[in-house]
Amino acid sequence: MKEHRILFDGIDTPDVDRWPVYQSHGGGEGLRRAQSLSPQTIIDEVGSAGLRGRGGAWRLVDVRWRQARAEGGAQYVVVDLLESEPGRFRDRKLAERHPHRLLEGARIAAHAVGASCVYVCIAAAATRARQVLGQAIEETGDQAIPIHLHPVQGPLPLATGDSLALEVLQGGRAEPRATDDVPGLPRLFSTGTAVVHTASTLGYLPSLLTTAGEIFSGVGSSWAPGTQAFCVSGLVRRPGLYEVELGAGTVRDLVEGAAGGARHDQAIKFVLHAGYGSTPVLRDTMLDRELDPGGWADPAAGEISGAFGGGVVLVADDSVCAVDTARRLAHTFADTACGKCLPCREGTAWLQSALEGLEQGTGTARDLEWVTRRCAHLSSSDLSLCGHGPMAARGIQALLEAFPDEFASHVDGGCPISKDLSMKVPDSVHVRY
Amino acid sequence: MKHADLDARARALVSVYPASTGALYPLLDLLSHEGDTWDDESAHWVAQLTGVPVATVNGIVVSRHQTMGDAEVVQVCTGLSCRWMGADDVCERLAAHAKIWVVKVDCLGACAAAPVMTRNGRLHDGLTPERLEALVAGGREQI
Amino acid sequence: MATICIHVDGKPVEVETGTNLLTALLNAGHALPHPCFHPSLSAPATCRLCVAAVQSSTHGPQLITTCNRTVTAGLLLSLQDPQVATARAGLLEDILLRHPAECTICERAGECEVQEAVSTHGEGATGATLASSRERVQLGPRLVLDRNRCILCSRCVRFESEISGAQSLAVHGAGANAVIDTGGGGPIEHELTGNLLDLCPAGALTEPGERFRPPPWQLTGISSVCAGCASGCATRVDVAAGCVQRVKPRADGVDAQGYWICDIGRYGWQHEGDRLEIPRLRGEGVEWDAVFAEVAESMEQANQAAVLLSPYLSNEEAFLLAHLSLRWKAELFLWQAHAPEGDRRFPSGFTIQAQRGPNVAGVTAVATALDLPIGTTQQLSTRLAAGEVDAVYATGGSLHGEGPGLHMPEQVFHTQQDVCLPGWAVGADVVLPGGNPWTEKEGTFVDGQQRLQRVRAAVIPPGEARQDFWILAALWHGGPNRDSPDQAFSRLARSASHGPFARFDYGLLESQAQPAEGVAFGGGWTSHLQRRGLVLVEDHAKRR
Repeated sequence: MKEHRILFDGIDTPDVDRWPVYQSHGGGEGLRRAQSLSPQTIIDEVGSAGLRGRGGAWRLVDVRWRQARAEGGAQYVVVDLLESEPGRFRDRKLAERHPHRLLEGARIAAHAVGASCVYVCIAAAATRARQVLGQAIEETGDQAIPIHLHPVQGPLPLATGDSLALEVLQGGRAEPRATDDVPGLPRLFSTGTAVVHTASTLGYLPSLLTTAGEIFSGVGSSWAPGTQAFCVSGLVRRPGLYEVELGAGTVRDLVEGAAGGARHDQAIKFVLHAGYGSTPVLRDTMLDRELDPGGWADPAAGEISGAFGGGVVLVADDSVCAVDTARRLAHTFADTACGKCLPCREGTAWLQSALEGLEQGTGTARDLEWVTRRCAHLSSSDLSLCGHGPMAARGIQALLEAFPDEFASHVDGGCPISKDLSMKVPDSVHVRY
Repeated sequence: MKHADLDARARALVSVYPASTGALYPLLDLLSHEGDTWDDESAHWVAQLTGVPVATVNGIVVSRHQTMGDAEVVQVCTGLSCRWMGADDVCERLAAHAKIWVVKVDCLGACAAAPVMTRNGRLHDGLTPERLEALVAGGREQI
Repeated sequence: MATICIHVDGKPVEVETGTNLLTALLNAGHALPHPCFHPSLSAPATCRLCVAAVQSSTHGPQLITTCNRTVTAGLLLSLQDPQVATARAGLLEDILLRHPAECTICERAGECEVQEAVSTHGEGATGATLASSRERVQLGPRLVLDRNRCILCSRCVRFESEISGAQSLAVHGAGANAVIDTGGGGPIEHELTGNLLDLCPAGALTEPGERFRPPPWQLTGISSVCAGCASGCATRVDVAAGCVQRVKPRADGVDAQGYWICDIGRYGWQHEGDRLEIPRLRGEGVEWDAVFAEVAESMEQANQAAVLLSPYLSNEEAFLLAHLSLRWKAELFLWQAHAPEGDRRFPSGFTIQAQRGPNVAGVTAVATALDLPIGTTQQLSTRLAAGEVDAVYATGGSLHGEGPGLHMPEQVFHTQQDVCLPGWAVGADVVLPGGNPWTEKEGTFVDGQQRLQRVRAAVIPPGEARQDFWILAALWHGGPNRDSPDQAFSRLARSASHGPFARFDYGLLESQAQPAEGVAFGGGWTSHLQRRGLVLVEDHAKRR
């Protein structure tokens, strides 16, 4: 499967993370053009191009900007580079390899909504990204709209939506806010409103503005124009970042074609195509599903069951135990749960304990029944305060449904899988630093 | 006051936000690199600079992977990709070294180059048994 | 006031625009559990127990939390939808994963929101549990936190932030490791600490010794008013076996200070010194019959008598005493006490008035209604020193040493009607043991905001002590009689027909608050409001 680079186009140019090099290769054109246009024109162009957020929700970007304009503008653009979901490294790579593209995109967005300040919320542990992005910010410090890095220590809950970034920006606990019925954009610092975007979404803006949207023309699917940079990792020959056209291939094309398929003489056992919350777990012919979010039940009410996700693809071979995997998921979701809302705080802790027992062979058949029952409860939409709890429940339940025999055999005390947890080296890594 | 030398940098951080509470996480980050231990004095210093109540500051710090300039804190990623590519093996090998304090985390965001760890705040991915040994022995990281 | 119509399970409900949705549902009689919601605090919507299903024409029922929303016209809500019932049962199961099953020994049993929610909406025994052993910690001299019972609703954290302003509590840690802690701050000792006990929806926050008191289902709650200061906070005095067990704020009173009382109000009913229990004549204990004639004669035969009113007298008692002063041709004086630091005001607006005693405004209003001037203790003191007064009838009522501290010359005939005998009155010729104004007074008070409220006796005075009204009525009528505060109030209202009391009678005042009630599973602010159909749940959203 061939790559089609738009977001990461240009990262192979040496020193493109330096402003003079970036500029000499056409960088900055998008912002310059945006500054010559009215915000309404920018919004219309981005709307016509059909740019959607790349964080996993796939919402249209222009809708948010129009809302901002209707309210008289938004004072802040917040770049969400917290990227705490295991398996996801797209935003970090963008910051490490193409920082000026990210900054330019943020400034274009600020121009579109009338913002005068940009904050980049970034995981404190993303040391390389912070360093490179920090240097790039210094290089362009004299540009009209200031950009500030806001490092946040983990652990951070997953699938929280925009409010987590806003909370940590204001010095609150690392917890999202509940959705209420207060209309309009969220307030920030009580001095203005904010528009929040995932970093990689903003990375498309320079190319879109430079080409007046033409760069998306004929690329991608009708529902989701453009590309997605898939983070492929796990037990494949060539893990890495693969930017491919949406709707131009299947999961198999990506995992076997681009990433080389299973390692050595292994076979792919399952693919978590949407990271830890993947539902269903993909196996066998399910790998022939189209890589077009427009065809999936979530986000586009399409025919393909389950959620398309945010482009986090984890590949497992026969050396992987499904119960061990579920246990790992449960551990992570319990570990990173913020603890604010009742069902997720208690539910993820219990799932961790139950799956720990199952994996170790001390779980009973009743425990297994309770896992399904508790997952059904925790996965109800809108019951938890954010998406963390449902993601945990769906991911675990999906594994349970895909490999019921494996779970059953753990109840009887044994693990039928010969796990290989030794250190391994892939053939190559696609897109490193 | 031991934080006096950080005061200037701290105030610069606070000035970037319309409300002083915004500087909380950046200050915690500053202390994780420049401070030595987290104690009552640190909490009151942060509280006074940001306006976030002391109890709240401590409540947040306790919940963070806050490392305070400790020499040999190693975070090992135990995400699925890292696990399948040998994170447990990394932990076992590190356990053999007495001076290293291993903290297992859920993701360090370098999944394609698993297994991954950080040491003294620097990210080291694409670990092999040889590289790991060299890192632990104190060799300089060659990028 | 504009109203809109919403539908709950198909039935229309009329509500004022801008009302908080959960508040509207509670007022309409729907007992939704809401451990993390409190009408006076911000709503984080974290327990999720208040969920309801919203029906729309475009998609299936969607769960929403009702605590952080405002009513909108045409809203179609379902509480009976199976999805809602299942969700709520699952959430209660979530609580019970770690919450210890110790209702049988828990201090909060009988007035615990978790217990009430589980018994109403739960599905029976839970099959899943998660081992948890967290500590009990002392957060302050009167506050203990049992972290095993804590469901992390964060009400206490928000109270400390939004009401008391002490900001002493926070959630420490994250996920299932989260606990409530004062981390770094000192012990919680401010004057509003006791409200945290009322706030906690489970038995996590308790006070030391609480478990040795009778359980709430053995208590009867008497609606009364605090006697601490001129704030006039409504109280409920909880009684078992003829003894006061505790005092709580009462939310269905005239909205003096919302849902809170200060610790002076909560604990102030307990006296510091010895309680007067026997009438004394020149130091000798006597029967009541022996004192009435003696006092009356001495006061009538004095050249110049003085009556010293107290801030602790009820309006009815002040009325009787004012009439006695007319009969005795005595001059009226009023002693007052003020906290030296002035009004104590908290960020939420809750104020502990500097003016000590509950009824300065009422006593003054009674005198005004009768066209009687009142002098100060300074003036009385001067008159005493100049030998111009030779008989004084003084009333006290303070349990904490407040009083005029007069120097009473030897030759002055001094009658002291009090609860505890203050040091300056030790040489009194007659000592009359009166009622504790906090718990043994029947009548009315007027607070600093001119609110008239019924104060009720919860217990009878110990020993030979009597309610102050009984003593004064006996003095007026020449012996024990059937006069009652009710009748005295009517006479007060009639005699000052142009005055402020004229609009009231006990029947009207009775409707202000139910006189007495059982405390368990019905003492909470929502359940008993729902029983009585009163729309009194304060709307936090409107307050902002």
